[in-house]
Amino acid sequence: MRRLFPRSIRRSLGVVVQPDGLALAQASAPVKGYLHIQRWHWLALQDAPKTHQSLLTGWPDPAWLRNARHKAGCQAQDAALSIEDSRLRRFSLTLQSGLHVRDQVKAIEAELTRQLPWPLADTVWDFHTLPAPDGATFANQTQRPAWLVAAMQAQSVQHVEVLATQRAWVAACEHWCRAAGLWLMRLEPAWQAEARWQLQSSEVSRQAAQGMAPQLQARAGGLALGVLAP
Amino acid sequence: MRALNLVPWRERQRQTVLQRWQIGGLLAAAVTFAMVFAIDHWLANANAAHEANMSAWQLQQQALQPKLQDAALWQTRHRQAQQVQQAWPQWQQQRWQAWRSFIDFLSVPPRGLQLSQVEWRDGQWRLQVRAFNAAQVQHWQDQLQAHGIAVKAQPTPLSSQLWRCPQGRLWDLHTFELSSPAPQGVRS
Repeated sequence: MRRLFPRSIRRSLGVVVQPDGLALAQASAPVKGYLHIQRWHWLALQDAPKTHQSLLTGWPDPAWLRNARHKAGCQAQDAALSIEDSRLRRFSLTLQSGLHVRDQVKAIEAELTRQLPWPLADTVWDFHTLPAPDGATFANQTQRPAWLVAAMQAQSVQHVEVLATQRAWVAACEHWCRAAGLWLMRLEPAWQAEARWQLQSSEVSRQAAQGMAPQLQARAGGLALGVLAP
Repeated sequence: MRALNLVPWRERQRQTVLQRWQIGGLLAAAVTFAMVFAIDHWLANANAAHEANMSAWQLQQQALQPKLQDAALWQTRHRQAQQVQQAWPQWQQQRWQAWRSFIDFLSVPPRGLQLSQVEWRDGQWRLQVRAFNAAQVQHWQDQLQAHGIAVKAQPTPLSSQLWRCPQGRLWDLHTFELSSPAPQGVRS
């Protein structure tokens, strides 16, 4: 059960499931203070019981995770998980610019219905509007003439990036988190969490995670930060 | 910074908004129902209190009635009130007749005449008309007769006086009296 009134200090937990263990990163956001990773923990899975959930093969039993994270001192309940690229469908779509969000959603749904191998009702998806490229940078990067860049920028379209996955897998993740005493707030690709870590992490947070692989640290830390400051 | 999130937050947000609207609608309906119920209850109470007051006054009046019947002033007032009550429809009718007759007289314009007095008494009109001669009065009388308004055949001259017109000429101005025939059953 979530609290009706939020606490003065918000905490979040980034969870990265690996074949041999679980990386946990707990971030905290005091009302008057800086967002930082408060606690890092690695839980080895060699003796842990596995979950019976068929979609989450290799994941630990949620009851075991509940006990283990309490022992590790992770009190946060708002959690974020990463999703592997193999489970994701990624699309770059071109839409007419100036559309209302409702119309954008309709257009994307129509496109997903056409392109996805499973029904749209079994899909969870989200999108992000890509910013228009800066003229000079775009011209330098693509070695295109200035008139072509100007013409490409003048066209009234916008590009959106869409990620989609199967609803059953998302529901399984949510159920697993709930059983572990967590509330799944974010489910995002690992590369997005890593990018966030590169942009938002502080030196203090990086030093506290000594001993953990840098990529794992970036992924778990980025997930935890994403719950508090998406 | 991308903020893609595959937890179905859009659907939940939509459901939350819908739920808020539903709760808001239910609350509004409940508040409206409570207000209507409260107003209805208050009006019913006020009505009951008014009826209780009325019945108390009636009881008080009934209790005072035997005492008043013995008082001489009460007897006189009661008799006068009964007389007024009995005569009231007739007075109303007379007033209506007077008004109708007055409208009838005015429907024929008295050109060259001056109506100096109009009197209605016991269902009969009495007019005092100033004119230079009896023929003018007779002409108006004929017009009235043509419109179905009965006026006595012969105008009665009452008095005469000299009148100086704006051009300085002296005229003999006569005053005639006209009266309508007395209606059936009405004392003239």
